[in-house]
Amino acid sequence: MDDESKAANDGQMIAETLSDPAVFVKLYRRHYDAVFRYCIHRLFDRHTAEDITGEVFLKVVENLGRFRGNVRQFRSWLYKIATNAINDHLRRAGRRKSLLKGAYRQIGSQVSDCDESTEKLILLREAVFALKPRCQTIIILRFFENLKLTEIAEVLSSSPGTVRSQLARALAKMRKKLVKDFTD
Amino acid sequence: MNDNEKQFEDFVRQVKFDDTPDYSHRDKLEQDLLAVLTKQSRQQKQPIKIWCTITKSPITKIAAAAAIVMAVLIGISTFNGTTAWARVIKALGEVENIYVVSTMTMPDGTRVQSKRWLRKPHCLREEEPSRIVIDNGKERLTINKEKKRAQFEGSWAEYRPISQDYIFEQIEIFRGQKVKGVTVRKLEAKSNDSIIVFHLDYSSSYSQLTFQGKAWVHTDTMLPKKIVVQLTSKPEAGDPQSGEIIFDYAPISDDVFETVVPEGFAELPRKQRGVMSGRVLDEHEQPVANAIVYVTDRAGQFSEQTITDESGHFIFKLPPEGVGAPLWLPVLLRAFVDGVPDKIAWSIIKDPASNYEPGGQIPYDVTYIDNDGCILKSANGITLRMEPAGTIAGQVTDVDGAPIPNAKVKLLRCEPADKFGNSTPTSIGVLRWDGPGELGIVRTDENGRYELNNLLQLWERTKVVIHTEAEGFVSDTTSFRTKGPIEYEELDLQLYRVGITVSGVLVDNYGELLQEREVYARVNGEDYRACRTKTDKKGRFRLVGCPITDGLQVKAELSHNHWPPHERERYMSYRYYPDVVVGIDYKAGKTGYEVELVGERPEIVIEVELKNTASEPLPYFPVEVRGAPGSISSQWRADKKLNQRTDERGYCRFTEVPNVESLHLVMWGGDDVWNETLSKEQVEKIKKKYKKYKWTEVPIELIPGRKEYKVKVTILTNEEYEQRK
Repeated sequence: MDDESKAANDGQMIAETLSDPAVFVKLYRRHYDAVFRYCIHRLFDRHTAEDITGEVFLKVVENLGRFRGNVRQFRSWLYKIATNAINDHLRRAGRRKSLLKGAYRQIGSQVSDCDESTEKLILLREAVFALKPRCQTIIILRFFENLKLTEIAEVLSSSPGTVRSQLARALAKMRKKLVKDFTD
Repeated sequence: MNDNEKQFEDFVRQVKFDDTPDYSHRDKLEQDLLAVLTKQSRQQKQPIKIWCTITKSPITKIAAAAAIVMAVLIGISTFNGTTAWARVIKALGEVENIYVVSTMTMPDGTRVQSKRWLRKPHCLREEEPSRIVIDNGKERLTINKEKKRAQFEGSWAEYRPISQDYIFEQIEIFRGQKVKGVTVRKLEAKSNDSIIVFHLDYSSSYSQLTFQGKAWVHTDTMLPKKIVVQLTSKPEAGDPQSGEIIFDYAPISDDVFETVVPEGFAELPRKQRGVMSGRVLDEHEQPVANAIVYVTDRAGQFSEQTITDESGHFIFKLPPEGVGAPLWLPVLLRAFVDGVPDKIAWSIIKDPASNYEPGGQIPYDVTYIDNDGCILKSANGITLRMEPAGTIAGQVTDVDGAPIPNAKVKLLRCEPADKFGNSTPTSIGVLRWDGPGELGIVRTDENGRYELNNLLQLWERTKVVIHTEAEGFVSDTTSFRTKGPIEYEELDLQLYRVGITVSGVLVDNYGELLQEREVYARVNGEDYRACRTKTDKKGRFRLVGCPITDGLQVKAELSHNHWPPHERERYMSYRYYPDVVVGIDYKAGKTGYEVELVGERPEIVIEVELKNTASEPLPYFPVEVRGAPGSISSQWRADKKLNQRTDERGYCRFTEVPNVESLHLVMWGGDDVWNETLSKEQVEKIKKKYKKYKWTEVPIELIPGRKEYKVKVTILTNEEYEQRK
């Protein structure tokens, strides 16, 4: 069996098995954490992250029949749905900056024993939220979720080259913001 | 990776924050999703399963049609009364041998025949035009008729028991269920004392498939003898036009299952199964005999144990390729000698796709590994070296401190931190840490003491999850993070006695009954969702099996809309309330409690007027209503427009504002907001204009009985704020 038809076969399998609750639960449990972590890294608010995670999996349930691809592509698909949901949320709420404010409070309560780290986190968030949603996506996927460029490209339906240059640009912007900390 | 990226990565590494998922949310969401999934697939489920079987097996549509016929037959016998059904099940259970010949007629008139012999417990022979497979429970021979080749391998019987063959499965699928789209007619004229003949018409509701069929069935057992099926719809390419399937239940002789390579066929070298092999050494590089070696793959689907021989060697045979039981990476290997609690040898064979960088050293010494992505085919020359092991010990007691003997304590998971100090269940990829067998499970002695030995020490910030259960108690899952490698940890566990039942009614302050709302228990201020229910049509609920404690509370979660968004009507008609929590007036010995939960309808109206210090109104300024974190869900906020802009006169008005803790208004000019009619340019202009204003929060002090509030706010610019400070 050549690779292509093998991958197609895998996808067929996912599509079929997803309708079996037991298998779905397995897949769900396998991916819940990744999706949740991605959401919380992007949104920085536990409650919203949980809401969005719920939204993502609901979309998965609704569309599972349509998915074609292998296990790796399934992961990208999840990230893709999550990215859209998060960006939608940001657009809807338009809270890019008020989120940041919320972040201060939340960080304060979460890591009160670790002041330097808190400060860095606030700096980081400030820098991330100053970026466009697309660049935020790239930065978070690359450095927090540890995705490869090719995978990020898949999530964004783009080419690795484009992602690379966008990443470089986003990083340059971040660098400007964080210049003090970079040189520490 | 360039310098920029490296520096940034270093920076990220120094940042730590808690992104550990909350498993009560995960489990709750899982339930919701399953409810949606079941609802969605209820109508498609049967067809999917049938078609699934078809696409998996070399048989085609006709065979599926035959399966439907069989299902219908089973159905008929069920509807005739329970005794009939019992008879069929018994007959099937007693069937030791099945010989099935199916003959398919293609649209061009050619005939394709395939035969299957099945004999319980583990003999199988399949003959198709291009190949023959014989499995006698010890060996499996595959004969390729076209290429004139034959190949032996180990039997698949262990992985594909005959009793789970699809013929038996088909019948299970339809146990007692009506099959949609089928009309059945008994042909009295053709039936006699020993054989009943049925005529069937089938038209599928989910595909173009329609067929007619006839079935001859043994009267005494209702087992099919012959099934004839004729497609009345147009067959797709490669599909047969009609088919005949004959069943025979007579004993099958041994020579059918003899594995002999036919003359003139080339025999390929025996197909070897993948293995995992290696040896266990002690600290002085000496082999350890009689060590138990445990192997667990990612999700614990492959979970086995073996014992090392005199020279410390061990070997695991992996499932053969093709049976659909692959070994998923990462694989966790552990070995120790029974009775030596303080030593452990271990290793993890990594998932190549994982970027996980552990916060400590994972011993890894493997000479050869063969994998296809994250599926392991074989791994040889694995060396596991003994190192000091950790122990977690403690006492399991009830809330009064009385020890609980014979409680089950289970090491559920270890989640080692990565180099950033973060850990999740999936970070290392090994999801199951208990098993195989009783590994990781201990029981408490008469003093309630337990001891989990032979643990991997791992490193700091590893999250250890432990599950405790005992009869008559509410089971509990506890976790803690290690401060360093696990050497000896004392962890006492406390269980609540089960037995309180709380029933009650949920209404709002206007007396309206709140139906189908989520209600669950809370213990000492923490949600305990293991014990939860929904209110019925009369707004009543009954929480059974709540822990016995005076810290027991009942919570109605009203601030979240539990209807899935695709059930639009229900979702939209949801009325939000602040969550309600009520404590139980606990009295020792009393097990039944009745409570009334009253949700307060959100009906506060807040009118806001914004001005700057020069008393000029601030039009289109973003204003947001907030409460204590989590008290107003994001769904609620969006639905009820708790984010708004002021109008052109600098006013805005919020209705249906809930009475929640620390209610306050947030105003900030730099914000971009929200579902409005302003054009992009206007928004940009306003944003620019308002950027200079300071972030302002105004607490709303509620006066009991008062519903309307007017708030006048003067917003300072950043400059003014600095000056005043």
